[in-house]
Amino acid sequence: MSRAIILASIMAVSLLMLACGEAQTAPGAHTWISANGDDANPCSSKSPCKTFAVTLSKTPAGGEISVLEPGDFGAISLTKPITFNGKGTTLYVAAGSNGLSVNAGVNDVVTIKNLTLTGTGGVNGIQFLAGNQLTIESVTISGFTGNGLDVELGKNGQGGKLLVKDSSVANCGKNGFKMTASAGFATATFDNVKLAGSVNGIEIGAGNTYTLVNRSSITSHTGSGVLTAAAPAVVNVENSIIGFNGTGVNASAAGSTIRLSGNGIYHNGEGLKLATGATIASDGTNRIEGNGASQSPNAAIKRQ
Amino acid sequence: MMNKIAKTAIRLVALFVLMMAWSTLAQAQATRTWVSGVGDDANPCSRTAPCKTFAGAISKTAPSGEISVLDPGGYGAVTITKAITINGYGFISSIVAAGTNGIIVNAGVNDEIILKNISIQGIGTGLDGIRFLAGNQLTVENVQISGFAGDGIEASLAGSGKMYIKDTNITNCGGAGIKISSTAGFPTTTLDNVRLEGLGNGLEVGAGSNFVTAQRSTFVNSGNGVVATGPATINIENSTIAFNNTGVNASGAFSTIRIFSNGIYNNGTGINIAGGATVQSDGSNRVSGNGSSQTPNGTLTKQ
Repeated sequence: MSRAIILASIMAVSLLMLACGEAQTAPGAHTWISANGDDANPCSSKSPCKTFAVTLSKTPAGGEISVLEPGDFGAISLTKPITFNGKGTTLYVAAGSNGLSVNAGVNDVVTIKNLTLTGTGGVNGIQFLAGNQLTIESVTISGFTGNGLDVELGKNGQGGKLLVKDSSVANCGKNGFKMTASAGFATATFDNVKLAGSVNGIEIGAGNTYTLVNRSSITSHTGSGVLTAAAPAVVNVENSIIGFNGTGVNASAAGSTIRLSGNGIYHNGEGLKLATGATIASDGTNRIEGNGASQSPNAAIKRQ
Repeated sequence: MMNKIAKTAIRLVALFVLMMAWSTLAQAQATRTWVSGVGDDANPCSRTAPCKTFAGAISKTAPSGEISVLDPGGYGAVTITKAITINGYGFISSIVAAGTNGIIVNAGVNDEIILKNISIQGIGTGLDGIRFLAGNQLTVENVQISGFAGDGIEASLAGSGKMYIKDTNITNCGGAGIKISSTAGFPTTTLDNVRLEGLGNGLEVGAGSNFVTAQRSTFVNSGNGVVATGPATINIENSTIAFNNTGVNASGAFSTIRIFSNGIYNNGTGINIAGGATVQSDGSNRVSGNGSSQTPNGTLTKQ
């Protein structure tokens, strides 16, 4: 009789421990991915998953996927509100693929941070096709054949917001950053970003596209540092260095506007270049020296 | 037989009491405690036996001590009632606070609290990222806050207190990135290199006589970039205020916003000044591409 009670107690305690263990490893809002993981796992920090697709499916909207150990996680397509935290790891992106693509819902906010994307034949570093907001923090992108940051908004009639900070984009076959919006309003904000060594640093194309650049460096592009390629694109650049580019600041489309304040525009083949009908506005605080040639700003920024 | 069982029981109880005493000793408050993704809150939070949550570690950390993070992990919401430092180091350790507040600071009048190198995620349903309710001084450094239905950081003090926010990014919150709604005393807030983007409002200062300075910061939001709703004073220097519905909004009568050398671009309304409010400038702000904008109605004295 007493043995039965003891046995029953042991079983009860064991069950309780099992239940606690389950509770601890159940997938949470914060999931983990690792080269040594297994997609049968709950994607916890103790039992991480192996591929991005499975980890995403086990992560609730608004949650965060963190990299525990570096690896190749398969195609990374962010299709819902999620944070992808690389924790400092590097992803190598092979020919024909994009590093990460963001194709999320109209209200979705996606964050990508602490990640290095190295193109080994890869097309675009990060492609932003749909979503309310994409935040990129502490991300390094280099060596892609296309654009480092490729933003093509307008799906479902919606624009979107891109926020890039403390990041760098270098040595891409086309542009460091390219943005178009076939519908809606698209805004991009760059703060403390290094753009170097691609064809163009920033190319803003068709649609209602507004870009703000502050405290950044845009150097050594064979084409233009900052290029507006279609109307009515607007780019505001403040407190940045634009140097060693084929053309520093190039308002190449009639009806496009580039505003400049507090920038150093040095040693470009051509400092400022203006197409007929385009606007480069300045408040007279830009240092424009050592360029092969340079046109003058044709508008004033109002100071109050 | 019965006697044997009783003796065993007494021995067991004695052993249990001894173990309790040991664990109490082991749990004496330490100046530096540790948390780890593979820790356990039953541990003493030492480096070799770390705890699992900030809440579990804080009771084992001495006043003015530091909770340090050993490795990446999610360390849970926490209420702080004493002087303490929480330091995530390079791990950007996170607090996930669905449906609740991330960190509540409700400390003593002389307590100094430091939060650094951590990320606080509200998964869309969290209330506020950080709530500063009482304390002498709150320092927030290198902290990432996102996904809260309310505010990223709300200071709602009932008296004077100081808040320093530096190298911090706040995004994707339904309320304000930083909301100051302290009701009494003369609370001060200093922002340096703070990004307030994708929020309802960037910096919202209301209620009492709150004083805020901000520099080298970014304000890109769906509502206001900077708004003073009460008799507040806000000074903004060398910052960028763009793509907001209203960039700089002195909406409270008796509010004052001073602006120096900011870029105020492509907002629906660049500068808005309500009756009785003041926006002071020295003429160094770039105000361009806005749908409309009022002219500053006060002069910022330069000597």
